Amino acid sequence: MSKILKFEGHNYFRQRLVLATLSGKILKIEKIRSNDANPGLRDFEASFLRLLEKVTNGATIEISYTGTSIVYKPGVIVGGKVYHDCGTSRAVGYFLEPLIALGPFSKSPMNVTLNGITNDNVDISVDTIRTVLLPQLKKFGIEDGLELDIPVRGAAPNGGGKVIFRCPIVRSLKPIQFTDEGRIKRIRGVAYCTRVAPQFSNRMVDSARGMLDYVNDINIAAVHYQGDKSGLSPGFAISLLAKTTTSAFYSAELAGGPGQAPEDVGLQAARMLLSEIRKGGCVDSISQTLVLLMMVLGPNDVSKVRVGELTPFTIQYLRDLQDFFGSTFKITQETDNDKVVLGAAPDTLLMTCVGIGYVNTNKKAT
Amino acid sequence: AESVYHSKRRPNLMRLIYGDRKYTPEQIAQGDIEEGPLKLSGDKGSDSDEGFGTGPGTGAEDDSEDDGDFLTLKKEDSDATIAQMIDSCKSTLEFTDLEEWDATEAKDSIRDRFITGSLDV
Repeated sequence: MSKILKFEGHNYFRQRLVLATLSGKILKIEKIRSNDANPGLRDFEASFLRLLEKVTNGATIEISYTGTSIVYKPGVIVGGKVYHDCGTSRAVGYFLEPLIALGPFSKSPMNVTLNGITNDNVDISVDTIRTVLLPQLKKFGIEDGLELDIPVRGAAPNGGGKVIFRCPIVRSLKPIQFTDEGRIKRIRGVAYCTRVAPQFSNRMVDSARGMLDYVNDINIAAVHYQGDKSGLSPGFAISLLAKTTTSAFYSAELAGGPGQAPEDVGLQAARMLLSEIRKGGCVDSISQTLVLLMMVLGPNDVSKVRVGELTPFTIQYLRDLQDFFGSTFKITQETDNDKVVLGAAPDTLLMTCVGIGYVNTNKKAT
Repeated sequence: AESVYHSKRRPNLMRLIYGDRKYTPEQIAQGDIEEGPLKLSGDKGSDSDEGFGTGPGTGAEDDSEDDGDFLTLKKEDSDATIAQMIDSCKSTLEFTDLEEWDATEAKDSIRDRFITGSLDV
């Protein structure tokens, strides 16, 4: 019988459930909004628990009468074909992000259809997941059949979008050594709009390009979704990605709201991308947590990665990784003279850890 | 002075994160670290709700520099900010900071990060 891990508060809810599932440890979360006027779990958190039940087998979730504490006893990750309606409180990214962490270790390959809001400003958009998070997994040896289709867009507030996530299974991961961030050689992006004038996409692209005149290789796709591909609400958003010579990514994204000019959205997104580039590292702030998790789950070998400034989210993630897996990262700031002179971000950190040798026993060794 | 500050702070990063955990992740990320003992409870994983609750309290303690500003600002739009910050690895959007990119110096400062930048070091 493994030890029960106890946490308090509603923050970092998903990551703790995911880590509990992967580590097989029993998790108890208490004081979930116990001082709130409306205590207990929110609908999206309950919805996430339901999704977790769908992709696993044998898990038990006990929720207290008031909803302010839960006990989660993880089962095995089974995957397979799953459908889930994400509702409209949180975007699809809220649900998809944990699935990406679970997918590779499932019993059968995941094929998950999610309905809901595809792009908003709270959760990572499906575009960024497709272009940034999934390619990060490829570095760990998860490649064939990893894809995210976005057949239908859905903007806030009514959503109505649809995405299909397919993830292959692996027996074990590869360690990574990724410390050379290289130089940015190209910029890619997607600007989409639904139920607004088709010109919105082009206007976002034009203003973003104007800000990013560093390289010539800029290609931002302008897409206008029509008819039954356009979801239930009008909306527009842009997702940008800078790729370096060593395949490091930096990303930024922004969704437009009512009354906002598409030019402003494009411009702000481009500025955010510049801020992200200045932070440096081989992994941008959005993918920090996923990459660190995969490093911990890797084989008993040293993985090393250079990251920019740690986000608060990542710092808590590091603590949770220690609680669940007992893994700590060695964090060193490298004062490499070359980098300082180059004007590259001086605050990058080297994150080193030894993987725990996580093995997905459902996948036969080949 | 800045380099001294960083050389002092950075080696402690592991201790700050893995040590007795008396600082919330937000404080560490902001570099809002005081050497004196704080009243934050240090038990595992509790730095979510309580962290936010005691945040303004620590702001009153250290009224030095602009860190106090940050914390009072957080108190004002508390609920909205927290709602944004929970459970999303997307960092909160700071539109005011982004204006700096309109200046040529700012744009030039990262020019060498691109392949079109100068190669001589």
